[in-house]
Amino acid sequence: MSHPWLRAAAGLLLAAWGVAVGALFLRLEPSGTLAAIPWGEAATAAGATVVALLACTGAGAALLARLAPRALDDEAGWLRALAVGLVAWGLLSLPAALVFGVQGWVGGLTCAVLAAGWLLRPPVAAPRLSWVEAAVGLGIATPALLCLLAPATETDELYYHLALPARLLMEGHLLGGPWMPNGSRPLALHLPWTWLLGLGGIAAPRAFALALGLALLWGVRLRAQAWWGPRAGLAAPLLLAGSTSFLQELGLAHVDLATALLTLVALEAAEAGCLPLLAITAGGALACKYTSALALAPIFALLAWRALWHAPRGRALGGLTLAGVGALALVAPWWVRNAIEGLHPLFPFAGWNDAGEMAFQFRDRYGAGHGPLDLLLLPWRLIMAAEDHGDTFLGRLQPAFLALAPAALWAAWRDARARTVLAVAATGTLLWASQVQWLRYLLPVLPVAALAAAAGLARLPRWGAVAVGFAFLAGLPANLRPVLRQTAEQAPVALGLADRDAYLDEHLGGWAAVRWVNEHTPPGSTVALLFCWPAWPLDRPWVLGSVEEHVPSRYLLAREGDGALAALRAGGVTWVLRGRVHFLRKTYPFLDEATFRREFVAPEEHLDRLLEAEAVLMFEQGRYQVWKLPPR
Amino acid sequence: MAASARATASVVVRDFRAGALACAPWLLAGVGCGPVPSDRGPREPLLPHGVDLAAAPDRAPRPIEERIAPATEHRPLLALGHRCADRRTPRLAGAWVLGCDALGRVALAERLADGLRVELSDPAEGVGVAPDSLAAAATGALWRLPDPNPGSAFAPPAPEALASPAFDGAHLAIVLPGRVAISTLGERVQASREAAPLPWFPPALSWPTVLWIDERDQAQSGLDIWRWDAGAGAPRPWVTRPGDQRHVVAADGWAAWLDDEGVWLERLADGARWLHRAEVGFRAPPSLWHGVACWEERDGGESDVACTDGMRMDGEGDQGWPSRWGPWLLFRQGDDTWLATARELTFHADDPHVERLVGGAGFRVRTAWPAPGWCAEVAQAGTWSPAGPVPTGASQTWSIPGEALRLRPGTRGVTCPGETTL
Repeated sequence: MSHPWLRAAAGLLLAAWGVAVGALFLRLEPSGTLAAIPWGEAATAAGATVVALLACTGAGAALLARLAPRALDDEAGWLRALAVGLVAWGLLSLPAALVFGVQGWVGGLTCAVLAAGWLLRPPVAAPRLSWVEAAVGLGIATPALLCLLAPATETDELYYHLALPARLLMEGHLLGGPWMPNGSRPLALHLPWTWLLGLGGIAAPRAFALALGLALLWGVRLRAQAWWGPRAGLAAPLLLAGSTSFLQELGLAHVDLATALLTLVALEAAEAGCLPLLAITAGGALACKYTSALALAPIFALLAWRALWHAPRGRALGGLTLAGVGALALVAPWWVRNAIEGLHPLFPFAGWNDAGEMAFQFRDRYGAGHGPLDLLLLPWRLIMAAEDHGDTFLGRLQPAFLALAPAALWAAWRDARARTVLAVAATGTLLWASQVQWLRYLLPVLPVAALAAAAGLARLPRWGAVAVGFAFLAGLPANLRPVLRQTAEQAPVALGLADRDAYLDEHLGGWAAVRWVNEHTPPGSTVALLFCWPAWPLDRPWVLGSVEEHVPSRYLLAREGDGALAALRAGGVTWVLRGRVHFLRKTYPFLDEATFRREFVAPEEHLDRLLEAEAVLMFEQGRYQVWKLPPR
Repeated sequence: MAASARATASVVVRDFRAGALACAPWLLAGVGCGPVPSDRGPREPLLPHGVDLAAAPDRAPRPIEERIAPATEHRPLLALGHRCADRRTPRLAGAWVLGCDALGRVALAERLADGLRVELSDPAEGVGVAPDSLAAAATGALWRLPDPNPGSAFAPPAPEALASPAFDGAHLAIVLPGRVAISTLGERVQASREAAPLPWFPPALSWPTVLWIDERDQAQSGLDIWRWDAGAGAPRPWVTRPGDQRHVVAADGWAAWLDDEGVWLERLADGARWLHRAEVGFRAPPSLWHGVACWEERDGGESDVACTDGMRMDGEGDQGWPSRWGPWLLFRQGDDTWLATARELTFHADDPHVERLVGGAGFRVRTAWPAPGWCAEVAQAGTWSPAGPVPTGASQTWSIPGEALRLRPGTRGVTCPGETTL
């Protein structure tokens, strides 16, 4: 064809043909795959997530432009803005919930207030990603993306991270106290989760958490690259993304990765001497999850140590003290709220003692021991003995962390910044090791550990890096396996290609009982969950539920004794969903027989006697029972 | 006669006869007695609440071994396997006791007369039981004991059944989402009708009557019992008393159910209905054997098992989950299953589960007696006379020319005295 217009016309026709074939395939293909996918839900969730991310970034950028303008100067400025905006959202949500109640439109209002930050035209640059970085990020996020719409079956979502927001929306106001203990935790992230759930459904808080997780990976990359070069910038995020404990968090409405993001920005701020940013992100991290203290305590300790050697000492210490006070001021509203409601400020982590001594968690139940020898062997056991579903650490990490440990020490010997990072990571890990050894609790420290390891890799010759690469690849199958297995199970039902009820029957303990409650109890009936977790799928107002060692149920029975069911009735409860735990003696070897019986066996037996004396069994399947509490 | 019968009766064999004069002592004792309002059928006198006639009311409960030893033999059934997925099992299927495997499926059967044990092939979780046989709705399988291998007898299988089926040996009743269905042995067509059965509560079947717990009118009248007489029209509401009717069972022309008032027993042929007031229906269904109902009831902070013909388990601790067939009463205490065997059973002319003959010339008992080697005695004009061995086997009708019939285990190797008159 010699004429250009003929060529253009032919090109246009061919392009139109290509689009038409695609569109017709979507319309006519016989399997109905695309029609099964819940596009509406996905679009709603995506919309709510994007709006919330932009709103947070706008608010954070506006705040930083006033408080710490240099924090917006470099390519990580948007990340710091997002972190600060997240803190602002959590802080704003408390008075909003108290004044206007807990409803979807209140979440929209908070987003609108945050988004007003863009009106101030803060000088923040959009993130710049190469095609390769975007592709790798998409690859890491794909398992999570495929499962965003899956029904919740993960324990923490079932009883807390999704269950609490849903319950708050159902009730229309804040809840707390011994019958709703999770409502008394700091809700700096759970109120935003509540708004997202109300605006965008189950996928919205998950998508938002996924975005924060990806932002964390990007932030770790930027930091490592800026401090130690491109090889470190490649290694640091891969160490995280190649670990089960990190990867499993992506796409769940958990708070650990958000907390880790805030502690990473706090570390950055501490290194840069930016105290306002340190105060905001440290306080925000504490308000998200107290395990952030594992990283924050060493950061502040290190800064205090430096301040002692820095002149003028008083000014440095004074500034640090102000930062610390500022950080605590961001958490304090939640403590004050608890105190006003007559609870211990740190409830539910403390304050159960009106029912006798009741431990919230048993440190010795998890991990690999707390003795001196156990601490020495911890780095080895943390890599070689961890299981993602066992009581030993309840997670898994990349063996490359251990492979790089000597190199990290070498880098710390040579590099002041690497020394700082390693000191924070090591101290945080030691603090973690002295408490409940769940790898999830170590997540706020993990990005710092990844930076320390990356600093070590940067010091190695090329052949050394290849050797570490072998360790990384060797660890990938075991670390990816749980995530891939979960994706294979969840993706079909998330995409509408498998039956939701059948999936829940197979994967959610107590689903039959929950469904019975949803379908056969009068609407509005209040249900007490005793010794069981599945609060999220209940369509009825619920109380108690389980936290840690089934503390709320044991507390009720210890405090009320034979009047436990009467107390429930007095509280408006008309149904009981009871799970049989059958606590195993071998999982509490550190308790003597009498204590084990008193704390775990006796309460279940007591509950059985009370139910059989006062309630009516209406359904039973497997370990779960539904009892009706008739009026007395 | 009646007084001497009670005097020789063990402490656990109790007389629940009712009548206007019989109510007087109960009223003096402060126990309710009188006609019960019924939403259908003739008014029948209220049965008195179970009271231990022999024990002084202020005595502390004796341990279970002490309590029942004089009247029954009892033994724990330790080899019944594991906890069942459907807690209605372990239970009796005629002369057999059923138990479960490690997965909670009904997989074991033991014949009580001689201890023969059978391990069932292709076990299932939810089964309906009939004398010496059981059937599963999920697979349509039928086991005729002692054959351990099931036949595929009922079509189509119903894995989506909301509860265990009801089975009478030839028919299977199943509750499904939005309907109730009946399958007949050997037929491939299943009849069904629209219904709103409440999951977990099995239907009841006394052919051609099917009963089930229906929730469609729960907001107005609580849970009701609906009835469908196969081949005779559409299902209809049958018991719609205020409150929740629960745990309906049926067999051999009788139905029993529980509500917040107590245990109801009805003779389906003429609608005669009785109420035994007790705190029941909190966990296990009643058991029905030819018009004799057994149930678990709350009494003094514990649960006990009681039966309309006087058999009772009320020792220290909680007894529950009754399953009754003939002289055998299976029950549970804690995690242990026990078998109580009555040392004697007495049928009186005015028991609800017997048929009085016109003119007071005796009565008829329709029953299926499973235990060999028992001897009968008949009371006439206050005197007991031997009446030969008790015939065993399938359901039969005994004609009793007297006021009462007493059954006792015979002595091994010794023929029962008297001529067979049953």
